[in-house]
Amino acid sequence: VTALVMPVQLASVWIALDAMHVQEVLGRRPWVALPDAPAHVPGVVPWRGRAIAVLDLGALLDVAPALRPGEIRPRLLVVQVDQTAFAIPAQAAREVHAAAGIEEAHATHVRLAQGQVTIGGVVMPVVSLPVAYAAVARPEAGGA
Amino acid sequence: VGKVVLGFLLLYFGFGDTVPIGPRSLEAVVLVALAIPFGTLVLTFPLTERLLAPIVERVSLAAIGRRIEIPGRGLSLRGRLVAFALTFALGPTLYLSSVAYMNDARAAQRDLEHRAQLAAAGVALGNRGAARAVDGWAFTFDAGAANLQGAEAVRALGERPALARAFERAAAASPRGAVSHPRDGVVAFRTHGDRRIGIVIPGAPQVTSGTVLLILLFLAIIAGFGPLSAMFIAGSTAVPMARVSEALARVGDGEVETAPLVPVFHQDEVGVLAKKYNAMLDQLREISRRANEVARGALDVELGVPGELGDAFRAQLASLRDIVGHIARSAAQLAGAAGELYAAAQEQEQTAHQQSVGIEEVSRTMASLLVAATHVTESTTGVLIRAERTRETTTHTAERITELSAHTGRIGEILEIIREIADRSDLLALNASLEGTRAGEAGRGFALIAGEMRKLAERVTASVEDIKELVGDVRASVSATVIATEESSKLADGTAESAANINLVTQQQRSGTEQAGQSIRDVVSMITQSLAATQEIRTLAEALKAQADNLTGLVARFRLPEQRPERRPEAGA
Repeated sequence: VTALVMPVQLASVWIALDAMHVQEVLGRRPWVALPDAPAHVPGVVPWRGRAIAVLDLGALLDVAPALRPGEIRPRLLVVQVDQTAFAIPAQAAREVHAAAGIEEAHATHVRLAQGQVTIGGVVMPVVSLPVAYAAVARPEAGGA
Repeated sequence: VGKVVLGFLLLYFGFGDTVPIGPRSLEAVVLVALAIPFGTLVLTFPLTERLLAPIVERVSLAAIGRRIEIPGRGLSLRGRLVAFALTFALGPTLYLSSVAYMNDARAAQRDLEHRAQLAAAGVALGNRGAARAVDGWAFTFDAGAANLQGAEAVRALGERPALARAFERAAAASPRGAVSHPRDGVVAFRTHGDRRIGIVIPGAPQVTSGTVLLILLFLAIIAGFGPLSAMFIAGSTAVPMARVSEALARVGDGEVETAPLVPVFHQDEVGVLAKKYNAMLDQLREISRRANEVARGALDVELGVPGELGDAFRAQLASLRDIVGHIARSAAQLAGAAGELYAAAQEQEQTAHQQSVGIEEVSRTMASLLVAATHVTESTTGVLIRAERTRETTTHTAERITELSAHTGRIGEILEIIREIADRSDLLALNASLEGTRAGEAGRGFALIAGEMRKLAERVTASVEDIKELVGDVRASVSATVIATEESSKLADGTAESAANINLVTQQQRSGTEQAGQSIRDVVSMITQSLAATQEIRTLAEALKAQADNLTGLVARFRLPEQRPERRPEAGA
């Protein structure tokens, strides 16, 4: 199976995201923390005239510390799943790669990872954004 | 005048009545004339001697006091005694002889007058031959001695006017009488009745030859015996006096030991003089011997000579003992002091020599120090110059580093811009990659190019980070350099200031060293002079000590009474 993935760095861990869900990569962009927000959706960020939720994917995948209010990361990936756009703060992002073979999910210890792929000699788990979104939207559906 | 008056007085009292002096009286006149000076000397000598004695004494004492020797030689005692004897003998003798002569002449004149009167009486009685019997001529005359008759008598009176005038006066005054003239003769006259008869006997009365012989004999005896007696008397007195005088002359010349004793012949004044001379000579000899003993150093002698001379000698001896004692003690003290002075001078000389050596060493050290100070001054001057240059260089470096810091800051800004551009490029590349991916196969190449661009942007970002890191290092280095430069500048300032201070101090030190060197040279000069003076003092002290030792040796030649050896009791005593 060939998939188009975009490597994204969360803290020190590179993960591969489905490139087709990524709408835009932004630079440093301040976000607004929301009181009483869910743990992995701490706030919102303006994007194209509307406010989209900020998804703390690192904390969700348990590969990076939780995003603190006011903390700005170098990259802000705007993704869309099921007509829902949300922003994922990340350390870095790479161009889209075509992953020739995605290994089995048990090959990685990352939460919500569906497999792993090797890009540029780096083995990185492949995380499905719909799964992650579902885990956030329906915490029980995440299987966490 | 006195002599003339005295002569007249003698004539007056010696010849009681007027005696006509005839030709035969010349001898008497001569005798009187000779008697006058002798008698004058006899009578005036005691008076003049008595009157002149104080003057002569004062003159003599003044001459002696002024060490003036009265020139000339007087008569000897014998000559004076002979002169005195002749004067004292001949004066009265001549006078008495003249008196006797004149008395004899007067007696002859009276006898002649008496014979003339007897002849006149005889003629008056008719004895015609009476006149011839007396070697005269008879004549007659009237009153007033006029009308003389008798040729021979008239002629005789005519030839003798003085006798004639005396006759006229006497005949006018008296009927009888006689007149005489020392040279002309005698006229006797008398009145016989109415006739007046006169007898004239021409010629002077004659002194008897016996009288003349007696006078001559007496004068011869006086003239011969007087000097002989005077010579005898003078001999008996003058010979001892001459011997005393000769002995005194030798004593006066200092020949006390060889001056002879004078024998005593008589116990008169000359004998007493000789005795006194002998006693005086004994005392002088004893004083001379004691003086010789004193001269040999024996100050313990005792002098038994009484009187002022002995007292003076004893006082002088006592004073000499005192002086010698003082000199001995002073000489001992002087010798000790001279020894101490010599030792002190020697020690001082050694000390001065050591000081001189030390000061010379100090002088050499000061000279070396002066050279070193000069070098130090030059070095500090160089250091000061270099410190000034270093400070200027440091300041320039600090300015350059400040400029570099500003440049690095600008580089940082530029790098930040580049980083932002690279970041935006990265984002653009990512988004382009996404767009290319969405475009499918048509956008594959675009995606690849976008990926390469992103990599390029990533590399730029990495390079920027590296450059920023390097710039950070450069800025850190610059900051450190600035700090170091400021420190260096401060150090350079401090170094320059210190160098200036050191230069000032070294110059002062050099000046002080020069002054100290000059002072040391002055001290060296003074010490050299002091050393020379000390050497001179030592030499003088040595000479003084030698003189003191010599003086001690000289004083040791004197034997004081306390040094007199104790006389051992005689054996058996």
